[in-house]
Amino acid sequence: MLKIEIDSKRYSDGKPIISGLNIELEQGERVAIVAPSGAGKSTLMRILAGIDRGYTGKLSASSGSQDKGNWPAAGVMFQDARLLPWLTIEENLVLVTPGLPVSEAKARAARLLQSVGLESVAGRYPGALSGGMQRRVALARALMPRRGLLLLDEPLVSLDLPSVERLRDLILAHCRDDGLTLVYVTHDIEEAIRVADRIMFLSRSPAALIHQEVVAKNIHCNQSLIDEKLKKIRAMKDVMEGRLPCLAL
Amino acid sequence: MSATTLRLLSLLLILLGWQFVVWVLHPQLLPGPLEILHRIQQEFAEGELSAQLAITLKRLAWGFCLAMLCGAALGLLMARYSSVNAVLDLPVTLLLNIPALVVIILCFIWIGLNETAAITAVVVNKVPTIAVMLREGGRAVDQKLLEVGQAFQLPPWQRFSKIYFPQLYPHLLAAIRTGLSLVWKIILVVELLGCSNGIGFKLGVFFQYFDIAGILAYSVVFAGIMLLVDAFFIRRWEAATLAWRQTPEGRYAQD
Repeated sequence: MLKIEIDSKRYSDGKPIISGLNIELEQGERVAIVAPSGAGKSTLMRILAGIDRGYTGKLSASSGSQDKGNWPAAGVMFQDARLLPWLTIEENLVLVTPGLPVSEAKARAARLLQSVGLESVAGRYPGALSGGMQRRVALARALMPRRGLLLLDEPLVSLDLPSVERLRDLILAHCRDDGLTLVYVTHDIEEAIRVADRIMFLSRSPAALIHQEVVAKNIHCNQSLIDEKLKKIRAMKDVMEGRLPCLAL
Repeated sequence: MSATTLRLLSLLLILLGWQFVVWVLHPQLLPGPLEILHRIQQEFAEGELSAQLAITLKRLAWGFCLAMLCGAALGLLMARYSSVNAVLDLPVTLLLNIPALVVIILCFIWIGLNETAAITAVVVNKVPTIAVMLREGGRAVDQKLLEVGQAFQLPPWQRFSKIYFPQLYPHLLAAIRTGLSLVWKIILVVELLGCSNGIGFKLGVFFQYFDIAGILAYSVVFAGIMLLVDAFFIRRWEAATLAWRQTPEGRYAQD
């Protein structure tokens, strides 16, 4: 189990971004974090990725009552692609698996590029790719290390519908096959329902957990169940944000 | 027309222009290209030009490498630590504005008329320029890309060699280019003022005898070697390290 306990995270001017955020993640669980823009979702991802250490609280991993030690290493996709422009697409992918033999890493990179439909661009530089293609490469890079934790920040935003469906299936397959724990940040509730086992709603900055919604296992491919869940969540959100009286639930 | 053809054409134009000026002026004031070529052959045959050239190139290599190492280290430290920048900004700016000649004379007075003084004078003159260029390079490093290395927990050496250092290439190349062109000019002045050998010293001797052909022969050979260094080392390194700025098709791909 992974425990996220962030007591406080502040901007440099002292304004709080995250306050009293406590989340527990089961091994292999897929969790979507839904929050409005500017609520601190990306800051939370930076903390989970080990980039931002300027907060009070702790991240820990445990098995039952036993402490398993350090927070696990993660595969990360940022909101922007952040590919290294001086490395080819293949080199960008191989770079993030430093422990793996190069031939093995190249074979894995080739498979992942094929999965995202970009096998033909392995030898090109990121500057030669469109924004959408770069995002697909960034997703392949996040899936390269096969680590226990996968952090995806709005991975499918501004992609065309066939790509969205293909890449969503790819993410779900990797989570299932590699037993990855997924933290999936999005502002799209329908997307969250399709991907996650559990949806967590955060309040606007400072971010704090305001509601959790469990998604049934069989819902992901059933449009009528998705629509029903979506309707319920939207009504719940309207109540929370004061647009509907409580009776509507 | 290819870039190489254009370069050769440019060289031919310079030679034709030179010959034209020779026809207009008296050949004693400006010897023609063929006469200079003959003089170069003669000096090489006697072994004098190659010996002096080797001495100057050795000084240049030491001065350039030391200046690049010290300047780059100072510049990157200044970019990384604001306290280092606060301490070094004033002396670096001061050194940037002191005439090269003053530094050269002071080095010879303080250290003596020897090799150490010659190389020190070159290094002290060049370090501030390189430091300022690399400081700007260090400041321009994209922190978001450095975070990629952190997020994927890359080893420190890989973070430096694959993410940090490549971002400095354009600044490093600019520093090397301007560094070489400045260092070889400074080294000739250093040799003219306080050395008993080297190209600069020989130019001083030719000046005393008003030997214009000698001055031009040594200068042309030295400048030619610098051009070859630029063409065969710097340009090739630039092409290899900055290849990513060009797409294979020379255009951006579409989804």
